[in-house]
Amino acid sequence: MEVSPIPGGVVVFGCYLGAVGLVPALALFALVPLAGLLFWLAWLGITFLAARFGMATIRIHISPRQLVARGGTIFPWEVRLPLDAGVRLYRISTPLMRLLGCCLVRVTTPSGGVWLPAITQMDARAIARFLGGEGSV
Amino acid sequence: MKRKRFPVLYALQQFRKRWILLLLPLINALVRFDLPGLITSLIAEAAVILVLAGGSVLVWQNAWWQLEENALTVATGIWWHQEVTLRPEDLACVEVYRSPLQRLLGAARVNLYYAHQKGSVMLYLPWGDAQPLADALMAPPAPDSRIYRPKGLDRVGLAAVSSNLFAGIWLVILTRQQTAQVLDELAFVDRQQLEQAALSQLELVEEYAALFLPAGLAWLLTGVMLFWIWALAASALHTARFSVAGDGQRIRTRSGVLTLVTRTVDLSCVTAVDLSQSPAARITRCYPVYLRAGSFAGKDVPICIYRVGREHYLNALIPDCPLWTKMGVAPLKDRSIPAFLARPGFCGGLCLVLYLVSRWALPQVSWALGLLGLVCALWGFFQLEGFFREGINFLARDRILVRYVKGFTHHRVMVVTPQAGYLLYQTPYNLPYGRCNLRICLPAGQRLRVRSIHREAVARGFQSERQ
Repeated sequence: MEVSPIPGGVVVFGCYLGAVGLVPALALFALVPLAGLLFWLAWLGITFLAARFGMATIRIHISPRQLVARGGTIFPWEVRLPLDAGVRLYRISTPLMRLLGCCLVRVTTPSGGVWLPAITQMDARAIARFLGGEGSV
Repeated sequence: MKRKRFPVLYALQQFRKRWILLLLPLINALVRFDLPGLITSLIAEAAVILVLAGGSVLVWQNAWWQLEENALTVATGIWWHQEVTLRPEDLACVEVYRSPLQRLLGAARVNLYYAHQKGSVMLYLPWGDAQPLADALMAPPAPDSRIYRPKGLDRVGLAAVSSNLFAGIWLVILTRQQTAQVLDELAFVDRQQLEQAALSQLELVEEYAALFLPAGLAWLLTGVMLFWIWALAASALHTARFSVAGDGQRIRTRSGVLTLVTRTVDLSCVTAVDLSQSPAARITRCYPVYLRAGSFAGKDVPICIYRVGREHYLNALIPDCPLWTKMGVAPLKDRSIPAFLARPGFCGGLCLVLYLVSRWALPQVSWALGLLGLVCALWGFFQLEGFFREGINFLARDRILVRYVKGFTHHRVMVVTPQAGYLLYQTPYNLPYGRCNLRICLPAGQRLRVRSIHREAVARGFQSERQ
């Protein structure tokens, strides 16, 4: 099965990342308003680039024996995890994520793990069923 | 078997775990430098010691272990009571460790390493119970199994590392000379003049810095070298009287003079076998072979010493593991030189610049900077070897031979587990040439890194391996 982050989910993560930058931006704004504004705009720009070229490009392919995740445009990466034993799945969601029908999934194995950001609740349940069928989740 | 209690050493260990609490009453008095307050603090300290000792004894009283037919149960804690049940099939390695103190108290430490997850369980047991428990959890190899014991040149090879003693002694002499020179010059310096100069005249302070820096640097280097020698001496004691036995299913090693270590490793849980070619190993042509099984990293004592032409020892201990096989490497023309030489090149360049500056500004430290530059040059030389020899080969039965250079050591690692994870990553600089770096994550957290290899070839290898 193949899953990918959904646009709504990427927006949610963009909002969260943007909010993280808001705190130092406000502190800077209190000291030098122009610097605070510029910092905030730069942060949003970086967040947009990270979401566009990092998170939004992730493709996950799961087969009975292994999970392959590929992502990144500027810094391409590929993770291959065997699903033979000791696989655990964590599904995380916040009210904002639930509102937009997405969630964050973490799959761990004895030899590492991978974050599956911003996938639909339905996809997450399908992955859980798929891995659960192997008797290891 | 009925429940058994741990030895008194367990209570001591519990006490030692919480020793940081002993500092709490003293902090206030020491910060204020208050002598009457210190006496009050010492009384509080005694109370804390009593409470800690009482708590440790209570924890010891409530902890127990029980070996049943197919499982070991360990119970610890009072408020947060925890019972862990371990089955022999969950274990990759069982280690019995006896330090001089433990031998004196008739106790031993048993470490149980998990096969499929990180971490281990540590138990302090009476010596009479420790080895039988280890044997019950992981049976030793058959009595007539092949035994390897380093002899002759192999033992010399292991002992050869002690030649670093000469370098250490030379550094101590040099440091002594530097310090004596500083002390001689200090004899002509008025202390008040030194203080006034430090406050008022920066140039004089610089001169004093130039006076003290060489000796300080020399002592620092000597400290590093002495620490190194101490580590080597400890290692030599640890590897003395080393022997290994194996029957194709399990391997048992024994080693040590002061501290005795007995390890039994289940070969079905082995994740990787590492043939390490360090500079000392190359000189002596004795290459140590390390075993990794589950969460057991086994970096301190090798399972055997590999020498060219004597592959049968390794083959008998670990069947189907041809670590010595010569394999080709991918074409070098698209390989990235900066991926290998960037770090040593940067450090070596920095040392060279500092050396040249020191030649006219601070000649006393030139020798130390020259030494560092030499180390960087050697580092670069070994990394250059990585440029020519680093690579990955996919073998039959899902086995992967990985060759990589880390620091000054060239490793040949046979990954024998199908449970290894892989991360391929590229940079914008690598993209046009289709090359990537590979990180192999073994179960239980160990990592190997291979640089600048062809992405397509590696991807094809993984596909054929998983089919």
